[in-house]
Amino acid sequence: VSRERPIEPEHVQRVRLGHGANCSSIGSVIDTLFATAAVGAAVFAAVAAALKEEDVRVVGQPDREREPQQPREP
Amino acid sequence: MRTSLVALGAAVAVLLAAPWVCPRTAVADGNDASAPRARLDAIRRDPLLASDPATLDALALEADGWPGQVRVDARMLVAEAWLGRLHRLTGGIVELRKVVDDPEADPVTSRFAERQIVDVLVAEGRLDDAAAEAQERANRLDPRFVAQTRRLVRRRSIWRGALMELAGFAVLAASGLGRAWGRGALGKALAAVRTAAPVAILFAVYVACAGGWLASAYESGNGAPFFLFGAAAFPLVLLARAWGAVGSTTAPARVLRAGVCATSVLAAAFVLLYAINPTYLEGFGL
Repeated sequence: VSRERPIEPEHVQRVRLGHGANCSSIGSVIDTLFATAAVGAAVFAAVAAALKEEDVRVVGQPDREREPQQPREP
Repeated sequence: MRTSLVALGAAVAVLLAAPWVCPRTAVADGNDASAPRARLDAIRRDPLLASDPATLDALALEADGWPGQVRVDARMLVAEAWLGRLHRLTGGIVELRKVVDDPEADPVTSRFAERQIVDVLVAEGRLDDAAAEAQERANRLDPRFVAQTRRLVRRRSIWRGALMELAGFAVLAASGLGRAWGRGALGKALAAVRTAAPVAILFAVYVACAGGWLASAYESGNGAPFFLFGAAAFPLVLLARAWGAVGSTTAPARVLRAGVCATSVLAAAFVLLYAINPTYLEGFGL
């Protein structure tokens, strides 16, 4: 048999202020979680849009010594 | 949003309706009110009469000539029936406004009627009218309720802005890709999309599944915003990548493009929440 006691003011040890401050459930921060996901996706999209693609450029002269020599015609 | 407001209004109605639903004695309103009070009570007690349009029309007309509190009670009865069972919103609002303006109405009933007017306007999507009504009669309403009405108007403005931003993003990205197609560089965009797609898929799946699972894990939780946002973010990121691959490579252009794409993702998130679960927005004062 359980006896439920009413909660009296002296039973409250601490009260936190703020959004969902006294709730330990994930439900109290689910909106923050969504905002975090949205900001993360926004950063991802920004990086994807800002990535610069550079064309491959060949610099310098080709090494003639390493080029395969053409067979001489007899 | 509308559902919650209507539900809130109904709850308040249950709490506050008692003063005018409970039958009163003729003595309370004076001897002149005995006959109107008897007629009003007869209509209240008979469910058929209380829902009969002709009876309610007649009661609305008769109530204008009735004295004191019985007039207020009759108008509230008519308003409640028209707004609820008979869906005559305009007539219901007119009756509620009569109650608000009635000097004989007690403050509780008057405030309740005023709140009902604003609730009905909000439920009908007439947010500007609701905000104007709440602002004009702010002295009869809870300040938080007035602020909530203003917030609804602001939220709708942001929603419109978000839609415009998304449209602008689509036009700019399509324009950039169109120019790339014209100069034969569309293959570059496709190659960039193919490269970015695996990472984008992983990100979208992570957001949808991890967020959706967490949101669904608590009582009355709803993972739909996360699932839908994951599905919406994926094409946006790919479009951003395609646009970035063929767009100008100057630093200002890249910064501007990044800003537009990031804002578009946030706009998509806002539009999603506005459509399916505005309570998320309330957490941020939106």
